Amino acid sequence: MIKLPIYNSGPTALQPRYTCVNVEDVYQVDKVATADDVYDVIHIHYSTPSFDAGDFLRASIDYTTGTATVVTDQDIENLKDLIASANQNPSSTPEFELIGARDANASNIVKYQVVDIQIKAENPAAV
Amino acid sequence: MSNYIKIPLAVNPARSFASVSTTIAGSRLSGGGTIVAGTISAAAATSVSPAGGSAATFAMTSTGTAIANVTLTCAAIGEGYKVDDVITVAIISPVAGKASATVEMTFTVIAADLAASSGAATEPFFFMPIDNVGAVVKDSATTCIVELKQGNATGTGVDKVAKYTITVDNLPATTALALQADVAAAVIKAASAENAQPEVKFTTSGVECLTVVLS
Repeated sequence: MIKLPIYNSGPTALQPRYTCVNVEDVYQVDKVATADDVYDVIHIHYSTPSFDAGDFLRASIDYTTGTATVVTDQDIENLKDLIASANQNPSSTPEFELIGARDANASNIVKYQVVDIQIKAENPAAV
Repeated sequence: MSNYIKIPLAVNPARSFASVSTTIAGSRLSGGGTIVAGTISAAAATSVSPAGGSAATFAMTSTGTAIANVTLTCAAIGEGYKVDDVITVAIISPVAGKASATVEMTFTVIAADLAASSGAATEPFFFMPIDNVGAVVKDSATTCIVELKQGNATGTGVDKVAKYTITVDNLPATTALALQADVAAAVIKAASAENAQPEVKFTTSGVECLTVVLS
């Protein structure tokens, strides 16, 4: 399990509260564009089967609802490292933070905080 | 062995009537004075004893002149009512063709009249295993979704996984984000401390959990 900051959830934008996402059985992580090369979504792909044969589960983590690119290739690498670390330490629930959040201030840090997260079914062969 | 979180279930929490289609049979009513048969009346205000609930209204129909012939239908669900509250429905003045009563009617609230609540003296918590929790998801100011890593519907996309729906009362109002963070905090704590079985603490004072449903 890792935890992710939720936008508008804390007393201030700089003090977010958290949601969490399961990171066991993850085989792939990638960034996804909402539209027109605006990369603000992370997909965490699980090897956990869904209901239909050939379908598997995926977590979709949405950041800005299509208003800004906030997810970089380095973020994906960082998340992979964090997932590996979390699975090596089963009782840990480390926080994943986008790189951009490190230089953000109170007025723009919400761009780097999670707007929505959902578990979905997908067919990897069709993606 | 699983990790769990405990979600406190309120025992007889103050809540709304179940819906505007909730009906009260004449067999549960007393008072009414002279009853005039007729179609549904205008909604009448209510009072409640003991104090707490407010804003529920009821309209009246009657197939005859006895109190047993009356049916009250909820017109506004109000808020803050409990099982065993005694509701008094105001006098319903006569209007041609409509049901009416010359004296106030009273009835005692039963659980089926109110929004569903799972809590009981012998059922103070819902125990939720968290080992297969996928994510804690924002839903609404009265519901939080805990999605599981377990498909339960054909097809791809959203809403194809099993989930717990945690429903809280709408007063005092909380927010979708606060609910999400409150539940997630317990899940994170449980995941971090095996066998801790932490309790979900609602940060908005007075928020009460009505039901937790797996679907």
